[in-house]
Amino acid sequence: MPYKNIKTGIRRRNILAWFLAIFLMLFYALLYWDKEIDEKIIPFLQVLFPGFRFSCEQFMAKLSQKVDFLSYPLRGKGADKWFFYGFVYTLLVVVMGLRFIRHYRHEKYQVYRTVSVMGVQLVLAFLVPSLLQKANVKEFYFSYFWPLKIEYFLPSALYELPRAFFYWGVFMSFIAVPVLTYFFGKRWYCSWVCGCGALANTAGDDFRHLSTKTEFSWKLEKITIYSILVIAIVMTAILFINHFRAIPDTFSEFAFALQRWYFFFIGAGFAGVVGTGFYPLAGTRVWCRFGCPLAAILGILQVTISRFRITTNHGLCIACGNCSTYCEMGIDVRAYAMRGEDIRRAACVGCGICQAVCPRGVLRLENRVLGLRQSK
Amino acid sequence: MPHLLVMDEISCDALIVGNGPAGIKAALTLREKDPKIRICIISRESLYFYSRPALMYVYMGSLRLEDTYPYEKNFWRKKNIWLLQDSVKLIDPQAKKAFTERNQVISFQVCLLATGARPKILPALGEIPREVCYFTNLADLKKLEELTHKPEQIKRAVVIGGGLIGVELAEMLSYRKIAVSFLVRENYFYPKALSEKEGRLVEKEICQHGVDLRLNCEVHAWHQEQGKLKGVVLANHSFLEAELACVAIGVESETELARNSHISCGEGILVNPALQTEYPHIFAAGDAAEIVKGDTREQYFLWYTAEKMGRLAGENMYAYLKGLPLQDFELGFWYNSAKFFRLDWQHFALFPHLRQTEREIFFSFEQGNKLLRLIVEKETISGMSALGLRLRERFCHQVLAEKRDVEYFLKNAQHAFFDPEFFPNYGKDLEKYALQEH
Repeated sequence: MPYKNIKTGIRRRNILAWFLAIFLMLFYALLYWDKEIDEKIIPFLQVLFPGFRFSCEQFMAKLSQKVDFLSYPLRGKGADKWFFYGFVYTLLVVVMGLRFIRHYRHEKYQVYRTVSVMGVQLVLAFLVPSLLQKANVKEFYFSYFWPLKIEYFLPSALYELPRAFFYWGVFMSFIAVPVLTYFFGKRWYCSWVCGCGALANTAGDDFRHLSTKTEFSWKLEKITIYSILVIAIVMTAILFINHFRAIPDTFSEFAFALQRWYFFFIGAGFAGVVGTGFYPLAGTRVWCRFGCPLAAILGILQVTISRFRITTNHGLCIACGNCSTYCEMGIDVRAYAMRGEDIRRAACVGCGICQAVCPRGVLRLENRVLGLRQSK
Repeated sequence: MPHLLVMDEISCDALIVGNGPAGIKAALTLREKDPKIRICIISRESLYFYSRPALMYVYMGSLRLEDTYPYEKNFWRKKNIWLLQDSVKLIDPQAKKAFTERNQVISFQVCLLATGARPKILPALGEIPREVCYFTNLADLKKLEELTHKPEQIKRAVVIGGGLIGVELAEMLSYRKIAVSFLVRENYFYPKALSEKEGRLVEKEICQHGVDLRLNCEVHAWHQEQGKLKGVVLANHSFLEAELACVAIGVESETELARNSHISCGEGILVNPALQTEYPHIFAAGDAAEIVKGDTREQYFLWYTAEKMGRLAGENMYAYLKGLPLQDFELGFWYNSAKFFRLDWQHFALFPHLRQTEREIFFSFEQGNKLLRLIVEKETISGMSALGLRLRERFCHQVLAEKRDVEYFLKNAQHAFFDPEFFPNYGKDLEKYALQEH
């Protein structure tokens, strides 16, 4: 059972949902582009409204000061906007995670998974990076790797990161990802580790039913997510070629412009502003479903080599639609259950909600292979 | 006869009356067999196929009505299946024409009556108050929504009838914080399919959710004041105050259309094992049909039996159109499932009811809060039923089909369970949990 009525209020894209979406998008815009807004948009506003005075940068700095009390002991210095953001994000994941656990307390899979994402967010994505800064080491997020955290496998990582961290990232991207995905499917990352998934499945869980299930959206998803994966790979290759050529010319200008545009449009615009801002409008996994290049790789591995699938007791299915409605990735789970097919979809993040909300015990997330023993 | 002159006439090859699981399955099977055949599905209730068992979730607010449509709206256009919302009033079997309420005439080659079922009404209780409702279709949902619009004004509701819809209603009303008295005629819950041990466990679950469950309890009369329901008089002459009454004492075939059209009916629309009525080009399937096999008559009121009959009806309608031999209906395994509040129930068996030659072996887990029942004939397993646990359909069917014995089941029991990961897999040493036989 979901939390509350999804037919009314903020869960049904009412005016409040639009306000929340605009608020979230504005917040991300300020977070990523405060200086740019001060330089380019505020002067324009001052022409329209003489006497208007506002500095986004100062606003964010003031806002960040509110968490100085935590920043000093953790990082040995005052809070900046990124620390403030990390603090709010972690707080949301932990508090709303506890709410989620209370709600799904009878579903062990949900409880363990949520404890995992809460722990990863709190320790690996908040405390450890802060304490590293206190120890004067470059801050590093052990739970993110290329191509989601694309800068961990770019030439810049070679001189910006401690070598051990660089190797950790390479190990995770190229060895842990295929091996763990073979055994457990994409879910080991998307539903047990990743911070984007953590926020979606805790603070955003009330909006999961808003994901679109149309066939059109499935077609669109395949185009966008694999395009971004290709862009990410090509960009990485270009930057490495540029690094080893080491000649400042039009090619290197192009390489760096490409990197800037990638961070602007995909890193900040898509993953941040749209990814979170669209929660109340299009569900929680917009970025994960349509954008994330790491999810694309995990998805390809999931449908090719992985043992993971959702098996069905299809005779018991009453086509009620709880599974499809609450699928945050917009998979029409019911269609598979009605046909009695295992669900092997690149998009499936293995959150297990379909299995939890099914009123007839039709769905089960599985990695294992059946082996029957004969009686004498 | 309706006045023919003012009517529009349209024609199709296969007319399907009713868009429940039987009708829809028949239409899709026909379409699979032949991409050209002109198929028309007519329903008086809803243009689009929706999942009837999901209505409870619409009431509880966890689904929107659109969420209960198993197929996207443009699916029907793609499949070239024509949907109509209208009520068929009469079928002329000889002229192969159907007449609808909106003065439409539809001519057909073959027709399927998949009109479903309607709720049984309590006999001999006199005039039915407005505050009495059923729960089988969209109109019932709407009525119940209206009646419980202000749940705080309802001091108590009674749910009459200890079946699967009854327990759904009890859950739905308690979810809206309405006090519920649940009146069950039998001496334990749902003896139709559950053993007494299982029934008791379900009763415990129902009571734990604050429902006032009353066994051995029948309603004698409605009590009304100024045209409003004030309570019910029970068979033992005690009085139970209630502002709302939900009746779920079972369903019966909807045969009105067939009777009006002079197609012979018993309890349901009478069909041969190939699902043909007395007119070979008119078929019936699903809850509406009553299959005559020699001396026996069979009726089924389940989602999956309707689907199975629908599939066969589709195949046979196609075969009839093409002059091919028809096939007979075979039920195959019997299975059913439900959720009693939070308690899952799954049942797989060769026969719907326990027979005299069969014995039962119980396994009890977590202090009797979860039960597994094996039904055994001699040494062969003929059924299994799980309460609070989930079973793997594929495995259970295999055990039944291969006529496996108890030993085989125990050896492979870790594959029998379908509970989500991290639940204890009792299958590893199932014998340990066996209850002493009585």
